[in-house]
Amino acid sequence: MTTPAPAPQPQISPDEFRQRAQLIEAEVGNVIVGQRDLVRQVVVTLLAGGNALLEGVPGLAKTTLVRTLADVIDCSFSRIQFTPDLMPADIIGTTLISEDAQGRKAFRFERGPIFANMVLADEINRATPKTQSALLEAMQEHTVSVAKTIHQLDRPFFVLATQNPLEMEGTYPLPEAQLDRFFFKVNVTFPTAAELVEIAQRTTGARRPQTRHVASGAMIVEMQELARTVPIASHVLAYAARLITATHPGGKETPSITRQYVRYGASPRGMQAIILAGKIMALLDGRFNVAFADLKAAAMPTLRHRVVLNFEAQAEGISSDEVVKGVLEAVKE
Amino acid sequence: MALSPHDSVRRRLGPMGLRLRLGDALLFASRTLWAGAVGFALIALAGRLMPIISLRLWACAPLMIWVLIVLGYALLVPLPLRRVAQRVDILLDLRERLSTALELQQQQARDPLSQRQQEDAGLIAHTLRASQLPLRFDRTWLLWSLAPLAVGIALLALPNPQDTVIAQRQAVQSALAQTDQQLAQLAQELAKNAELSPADLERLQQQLAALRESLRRNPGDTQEALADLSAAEARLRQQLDPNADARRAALEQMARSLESISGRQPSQRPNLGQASQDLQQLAQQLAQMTPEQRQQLAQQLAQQATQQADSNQQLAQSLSNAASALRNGDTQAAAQQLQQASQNVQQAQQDLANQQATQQSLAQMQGARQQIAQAGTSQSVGSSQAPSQGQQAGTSQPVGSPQAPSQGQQGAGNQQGSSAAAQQPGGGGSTAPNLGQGQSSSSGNINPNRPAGQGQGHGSAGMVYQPFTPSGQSGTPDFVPGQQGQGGQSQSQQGQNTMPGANNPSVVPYEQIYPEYAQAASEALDRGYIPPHLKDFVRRYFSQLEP
Repeated sequence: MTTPAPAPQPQISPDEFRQRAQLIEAEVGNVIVGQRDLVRQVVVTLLAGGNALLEGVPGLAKTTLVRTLADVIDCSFSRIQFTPDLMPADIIGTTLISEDAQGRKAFRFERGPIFANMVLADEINRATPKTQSALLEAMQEHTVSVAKTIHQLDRPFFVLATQNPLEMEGTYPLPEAQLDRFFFKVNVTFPTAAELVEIAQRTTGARRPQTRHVASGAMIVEMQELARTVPIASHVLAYAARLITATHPGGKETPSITRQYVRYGASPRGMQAIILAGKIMALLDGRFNVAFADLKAAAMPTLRHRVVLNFEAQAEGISSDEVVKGVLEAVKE
Repeated sequence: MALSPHDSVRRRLGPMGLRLRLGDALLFASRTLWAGAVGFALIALAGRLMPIISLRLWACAPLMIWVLIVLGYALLVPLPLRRVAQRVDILLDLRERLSTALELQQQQARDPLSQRQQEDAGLIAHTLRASQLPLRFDRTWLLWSLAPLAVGIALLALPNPQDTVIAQRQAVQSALAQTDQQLAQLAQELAKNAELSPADLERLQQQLAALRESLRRNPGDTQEALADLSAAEARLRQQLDPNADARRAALEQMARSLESISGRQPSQRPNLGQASQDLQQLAQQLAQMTPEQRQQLAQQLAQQATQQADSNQQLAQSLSNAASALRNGDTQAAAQQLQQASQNVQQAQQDLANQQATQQSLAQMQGARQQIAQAGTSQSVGSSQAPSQGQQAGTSQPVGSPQAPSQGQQGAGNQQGSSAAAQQPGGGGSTAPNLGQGQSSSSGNINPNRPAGQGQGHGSAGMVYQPFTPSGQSGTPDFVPGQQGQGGQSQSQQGQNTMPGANNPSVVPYEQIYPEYAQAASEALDRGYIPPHLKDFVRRYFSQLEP
């Protein structure tokens, strides 16, 4: 049995955490009209050190959101447009033969776009599974292995992938293992009419909205460390575990909707995600402990892509959101 | 001194735990009241279908049990502080602040965020009041519970026909207890009876004990008690000798004769023991008698033998043999036969004592049966008593019937006799004590059994025997008209009645009705329906009534 080493105490206070997060949201909100939930969930993912999968039709400011976020936290940003002919080397980089001033030739690793604090994997489902898998190590381990060399990615590292739910022809749906790496899956909804008017006013006028740096990468890392120290009561933790169990069709407390429509439930990584998201939401709410409400708020974006539906659900048009909703109603506090 | 956040949380959670217990108990009570209420209503309903003593108490029993369960639930169900904190968090939407703080304190967490959390929880707890916790009722279940409660209350409040049955049973039980005492006294009296043989005494006492035991086990059922008594009576009746009176009369006659022979004045009720001694004395005196005296004695003995022939053949044989021996001059054989006759008399005396004890027991049982029958019916027929003044609906007796109604106008002052004689649906006991007790406003001793005699009737109201109906059918009150007084009119008249068949009062001459009653009484005496100790009374009564 190994004893975990004590984590260094974060320098940032909970109040500062909240203020800084609110500032980030506010700055992003200066550019992104509406979409408060989207912004909140993306910020939560960032502060959790995770990766987000945004699903929505084109033109909903997904790229703008990531770019703005990178500007606001003063981090490097790169965008990868996934296409069927995109190769892994196009993402992680490649080894080149280079010649120095003395004329000596040597192999040199040329970093790919993955080496950035914030990576936008646009339309990720258009690349082949081989290329998609190139992101796995980076997303989970924050490292890139090339020719026996492991390259550490800078912190914070944040992959924000998008996919279009409409144009499914010629796409490669993400495998479950890949999906499980995403902390949140966020459904980007279409803006309301009022928001559309606001969008038009902001983007078609002479003045373009400007953002300012309200945080830094180091600050984000400190915030990530603080978020992990938020206490959670054992019965709240047990509730999270029961939520995860309830997504599995063979569990004791499994609700009927799960038994009927779910093929596989959420993984333990899903539980980690829901708890971590709950901690951040508690801090954003000005509290110092995780509540049931935090877990419930985090349940949908953390579980919807981790619940694998069966054929019956697909035949009846049952979405994973409905299943997660049924699980939340069935599992009592 | 300021409280630490942890103490503040704990201090607030104490009263909140009590409040939660109260709320839980109320919720539990509102959800489970239906069970007690249904039990209450069912017992109240059962009380209308069967007699239940202390029905209200029994009906309330489910509710009392329900109260106890609710109290037990409120007091005994464990509610640890941690659980209180969790529930308060949920009820007051405290976002798990208190429960987390309590747990962090137990874990002794010292990191800054944990301390901030506990401080935050302490501040929140400081603002909490137990009254903020809502007391909840389940209105739906509560409303459903009201229906059986209302039904049960209505069933208890409305008049219950089983109350009469219960009162009747209690009266029967009281009568049974009284009967038990009487039977115990009878057993003691029998034990003191020296004339009874031990075997007879034991047999009688066993029968009485068996009867007492069966009556003790009786829960108040009239029919069962009457059946037990009837069975016991039947057993005793089988032991009765129908010729006992004749035997006694013959023996008493012989005893008087022996008293005459012995030179004593014949007594009204001679002692049979003395008769036995007289026979022994005669046996001893035979040798000193002259031949003429012996012949005379032989003649008397032969005469007594003839009289005893029907009732006591052994005694008759002994007496006859003694007479023959005396005629033949064989004094020794005559003395032996007289000794034998003396023993026969002693045996007969024991038999008669046994018969008397049996009759006494029988009479006691008959009295008890009447008592129980009256107790069993007096309550239930309280509202259906035969109306006085002869208003027996649709049962007007034919004129001149020996079963004429019990009421008749009597006395010169139109005093209307009234009787409380009730219809006896079971038992068939005599209602004699109630018969003929006319209520008269006139002064003087008026015999209600006597017809109007211009105010000159005399005599006292006596018991009129009514034959027992073994089948248990209702006995019909009998009326025996009184003796005609001077200048009186012999009549038996029904009371005023507007019912059909009762419009015309019956007028029957006394001379015409008397023989029928006398005949009925004679038959009753012969059939053994009348308790032995009342036979003389009946005989004297009818002899006084003779025109």
